[in-house]
Amino acid sequence: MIRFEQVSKRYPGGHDALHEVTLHIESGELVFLTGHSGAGKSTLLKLISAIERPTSGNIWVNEQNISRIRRSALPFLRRNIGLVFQDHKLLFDRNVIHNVLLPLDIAGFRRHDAFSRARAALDKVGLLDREKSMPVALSGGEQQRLCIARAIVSRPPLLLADEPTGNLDSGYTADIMRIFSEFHRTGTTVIISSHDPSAVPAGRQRIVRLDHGSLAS
Amino acid sequence: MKIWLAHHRHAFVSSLHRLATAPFATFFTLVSLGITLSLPAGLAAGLASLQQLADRLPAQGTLTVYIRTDASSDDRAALDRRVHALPGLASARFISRNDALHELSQHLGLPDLSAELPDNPLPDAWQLTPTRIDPALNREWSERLSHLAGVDLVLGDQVWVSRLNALVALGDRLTTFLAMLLAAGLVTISGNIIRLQILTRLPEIEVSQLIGATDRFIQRPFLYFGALQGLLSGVLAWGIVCIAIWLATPELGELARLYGSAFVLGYPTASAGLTLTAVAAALGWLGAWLALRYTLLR
Ligand SMILES: Nc1ncnc2c1ncn2[C@@H]1O[C@H](COP(=O)(O)OP(=O)(O)OP(=O)(O)O)[C@@H](O)[C@H]1O
Ligand SMILES: [Mg+2]
Repeated sequence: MIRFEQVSKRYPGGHDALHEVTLHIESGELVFLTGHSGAGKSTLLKLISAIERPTSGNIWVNEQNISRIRRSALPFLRRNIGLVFQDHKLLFDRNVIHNVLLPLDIAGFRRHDAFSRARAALDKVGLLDREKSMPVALSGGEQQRLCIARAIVSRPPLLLADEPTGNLDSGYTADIMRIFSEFHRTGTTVIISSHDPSAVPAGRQRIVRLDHGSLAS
Repeated sequence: MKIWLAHHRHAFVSSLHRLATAPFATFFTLVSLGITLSLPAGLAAGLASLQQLADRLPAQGTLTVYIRTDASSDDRAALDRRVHALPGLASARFISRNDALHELSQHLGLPDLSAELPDNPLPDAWQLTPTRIDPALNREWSERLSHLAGVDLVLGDQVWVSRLNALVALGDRLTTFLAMLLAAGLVTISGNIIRLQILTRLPEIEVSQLIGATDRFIQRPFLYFGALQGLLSGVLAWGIVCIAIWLATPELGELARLYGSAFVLGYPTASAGLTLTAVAAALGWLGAWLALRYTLLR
């Protein structure tokens, strides 16, 4: 589903965030992306969703080479990806349920269907009783869960979660991980980044470790 | 198709929502845009009425040729021939000085005028009516006749009509210029409001782009908003013009009556009003479009 071929990313300013990364992730995999702060985890996820472009190398997502994707094709790539942002990117001018409705409005869902879907997503992350609250009234962990609800509401085939457990205590971390593995069991490809190795649940999951922009195995 | 409809409904509802969530700002914006628009619209309405008046003036393009009192009979005969040889002549009536004095005395209600005047001061005259009203024809006639020996003066009743027409044409020019100026103003005001809206909505725009919104999806609510704002201000301008006419009508009627004129300030027709609102909506849309081009194109 995702293929990186000798991908390097140098940000303007000369910093090499990724260096010659070659990586293959199968459809339906659950992958943990770990590495120290600044290792390039967010950069790698941004390359997959074409938020950033690689400096060199090629990236395929769903057999589509997105290193040179046209701007007009971006929305249709992104609709197949659920994104949990490290900085949440919630909209503070609307309440919880309307934050979750945004992807459904973009996809053109009917209002009635959209509401029931949004409620189901909020239920999954344990925020159903807060649907009328404004995001400022949520704790850091609740905001993070709201961001997850927004990412999963349109049931995308690929879910990219950037530090989804950064602000959560271990109890909620386990809850969130359960949501992701539930999602994974329904066939979704899931990539979760974390700088904290202890957040990775014990098991036989695939772990991809980055070290100063290069793959470390 | 369903998705397309859902998108448009979403954009429309959200732009309505934006208008409604800031009622004061909306109100002031609409009033300022409405006043801006009502200026050229009101002028155009006034000019239309004036044009009607000019059209209704009882001018037949009649030309009166006054003959010198000392004109010789040869001169008179020559003039007679020239008059009847005029192109486009419908009728030529000779009014002798005695007939003219008689008419005048009846007009003034002084039957003994001819008796009281030692000498008839009026000249003989030809009254010439053309087959069609045409200032060029009048000019040609007066050129042909005015330099003839024995002719004192050639006067047309068309003078006033053409003066009024010239005035209306000048007004039309001015109105067009003003309308273009204020249309540009409306585009600018509307565009600036949309630009501010875009700036306050940048987070939403950014997130929407990140989760798969097309440019069209992002721009649509702003375009709807601009068009809706223009439309409402057009309706408002229509209302302002109608109210102004309604307020002015009694005074104008009185004034016109004093001058014995049938001038009435007409209300804008439905089609004029609808054109006004449509143009205003289009201008509002254009303002939004420009704002989107220059704010989102980074
Ligand atoms: N927009 C940018 N411009 C310049 N440099 C950047 C930019 N974004 C990231 N970097 C740099 O690239 C490197 C990798 O950043 P990245 O955000 O991918 O790290 P990360 O592994 O996600 O770290 P963290 O765990 O702290 O989130 C860092 O050194 C960072 O300073
Ligand atoms: Mg990061």
